[in-house]
Amino acid sequence: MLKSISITGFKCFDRFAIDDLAQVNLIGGENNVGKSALLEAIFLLISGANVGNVLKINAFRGITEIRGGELDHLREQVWSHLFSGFDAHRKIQLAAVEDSGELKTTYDVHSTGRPVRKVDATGSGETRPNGGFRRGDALRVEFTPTKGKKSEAHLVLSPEGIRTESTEPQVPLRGVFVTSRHRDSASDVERFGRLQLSHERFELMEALRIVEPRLTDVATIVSGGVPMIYGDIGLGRKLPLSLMGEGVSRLCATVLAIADSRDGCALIDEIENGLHYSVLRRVWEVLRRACQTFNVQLFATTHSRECAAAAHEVFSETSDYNFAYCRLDRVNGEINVKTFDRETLDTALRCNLETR
Amino acid sequence: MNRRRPKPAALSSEEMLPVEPRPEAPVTIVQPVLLLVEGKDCELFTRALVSHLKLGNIQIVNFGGVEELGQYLKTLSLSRRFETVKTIGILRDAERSAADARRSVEGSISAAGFKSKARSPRFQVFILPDNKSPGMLETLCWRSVKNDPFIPCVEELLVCAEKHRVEVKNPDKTKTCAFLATRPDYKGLVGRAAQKGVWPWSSPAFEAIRKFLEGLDRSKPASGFTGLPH
Repeated sequence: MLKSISITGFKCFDRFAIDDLAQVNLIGGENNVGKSALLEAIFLLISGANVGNVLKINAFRGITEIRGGELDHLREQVWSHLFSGFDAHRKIQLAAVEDSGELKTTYDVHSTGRPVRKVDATGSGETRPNGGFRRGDALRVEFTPTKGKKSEAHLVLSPEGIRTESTEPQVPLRGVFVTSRHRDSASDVERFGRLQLSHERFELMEALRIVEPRLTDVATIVSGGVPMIYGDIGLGRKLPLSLMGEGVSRLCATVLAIADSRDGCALIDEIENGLHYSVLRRVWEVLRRACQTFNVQLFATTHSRECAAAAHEVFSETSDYNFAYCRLDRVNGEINVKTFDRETLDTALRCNLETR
Repeated sequence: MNRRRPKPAALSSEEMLPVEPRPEAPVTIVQPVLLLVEGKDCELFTRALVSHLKLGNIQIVNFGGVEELGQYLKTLSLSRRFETVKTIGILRDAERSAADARRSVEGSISAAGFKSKARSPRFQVFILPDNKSPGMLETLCWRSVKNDPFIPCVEELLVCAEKHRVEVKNPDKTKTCAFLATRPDYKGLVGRAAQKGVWPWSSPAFEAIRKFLEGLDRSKPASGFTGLPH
C-alpha cells in the first residue's frame, strides 16, 4: 500500500506531495485543480517502465487518434502536455513510499541517437540539421523498484508514428483506471470473466442490486460477435447493463476495477457519477468490502459532499477508519493538499464547513 | 390571443407538506477576518451589531459550543482559502469566570496546533459580557437596557419568584427573557431581538465589544486583499 506520493514536474504539479494515505482515499477540490491528473500520476507511477501507458492516459482524456507526421506535432499530441508548463526539458519524477521502501518512476525526453530519416521542413517552416530526429524524439521512462534493478523503456516518435522500445518492463503494482466517462465495456467483460475465474467470492450482482433492485441475474453474453455483460430485470429478456442507466454500469465498472487490481491500486475518476445520493452509503459499504477482499488501495475523485459524507459514515463504523479525504487547492499557483482524518472530517461535516 | 390558464386546484391540508427549513450552504472563507461565535443566538446578535457598525471585513462563523472549539479550529485550518485569513476573533461567554474562559480559549487555540506568536493568523479573544466580569451575552444585553422604565418590574419578578421559592438558575437570562417578552415582535432570544433593533447600540454597555469588533475589522491587510487566493 502506498503511504505517501510525491510528484514533480507532471502537468499542474510543479512540486507536490501527499502523505498519510489510507486504503481508501477520496480526493476533492474545485474544477481544474488536478484531481484527475493526480490519478494519472499514480497510474504512471505504478505502471513502472510500461511506457505504453502514456498513450492510455492520453486516451482517458479523449486523445485516441495520433497522426504521424511532423515531430513537433507528434510531441504535442503525445507528451508535451505531460510536463509542467509544457517544458519537456524538465524531468517528471513520480515517487511513492510503500511498506517495503520507495519506488520511483521518472520520465524525460531525449534522443534515441538513431536518426530516423530526413524530415521535410515545410510543415513547421523549420530546418533541422543533420537530416533527422536527434534531440527530443523519444520519451524515456526509468523505473526504480523498491527492490531489484532499474528498468528503462522508450516511446519513440517517427514520421510514421510511435513505437515502444523496452527491456522487460516491470510493472510494480496492478492498476486499473476508470475515467469519468467510462464506456469501456470490453474491459468490463474481461474483468468480469477474471472475477468469475478467481477463487474469491464477490457477488457483483448483489452490489448492482443497490442501484437496480430488480436485477436477478448477471451474465456475459456474446451477441453479434460482441461480448457484453447483460442483466435480467424482469423484462422478459436480458438487457446489456450499459442500457440500464449510468448508475448500474458505473458501479459495475468500479467494482470490477477493484476486483481486477488485486494487491494494487484502483483509480476511479468522479466516483459518484450516475449514482443517486440515497444509495451512496450502501455503495461505499460494497466498495469498502471489495477493497478489503482484494487488498486494493482505492483513489477516487469526487465533487460531492454527500459522497464524502457517506464514505465517512461507513468507515466510522470500522475500528481502523482506513479512509482519508484529501482536498486539492491551488494556492499562489501551486497545488496543495489538505488531508482530513476521522475527527476533522467529522467536525467539518457536522459543523457544515466546506470540504470540497 | 388571451388564453387563460386553468387555476391549479388548491391542496388540502392533508396534501400540504410541512415546509422544511432551507439547508444552509457550507461555510466558505470569504473574508480576511473571521469572528467565531458560540451558538446561533450569539451569531445573530453579532451579525446585527457588526451590521450596525458597518464593519465590512468580518465574517461571522458559529463554531457551536466551547467544548468543540479546539477541534473546530483544527478543522477550520483545513478550509479552502484559510491561508488568506489574517485574524481570527473568538467570542464566548465568561460564565463563572472571564479569566478561566480566556484560559480555556487559549488552550483550544494551542491544542489546534496554532502557535501563539505566529504572525498569521492572529487571534483576538473577547469574553462576554465585558472581558472581566462573570456572565454572558444576556448579561451584556440586560446592562444595555438598565435605564428602561420597565426594568424595575422585571427586577420585581425575580423578587416575587424568590418569595414563592421558585429557583431561578440563571437570573440574567431570566430577566432578559422577561424583558423581551414585553417588546413588540418578540422572538424570545437576544439574537433575534438584536436583529429587530431592540438593543440600544449606543449604550455604554456595548462600548467594550464595539471597540473589540472595530479593532478586528481594522486588522485586515492595508491593501490589495481580495479575499481570494492569489
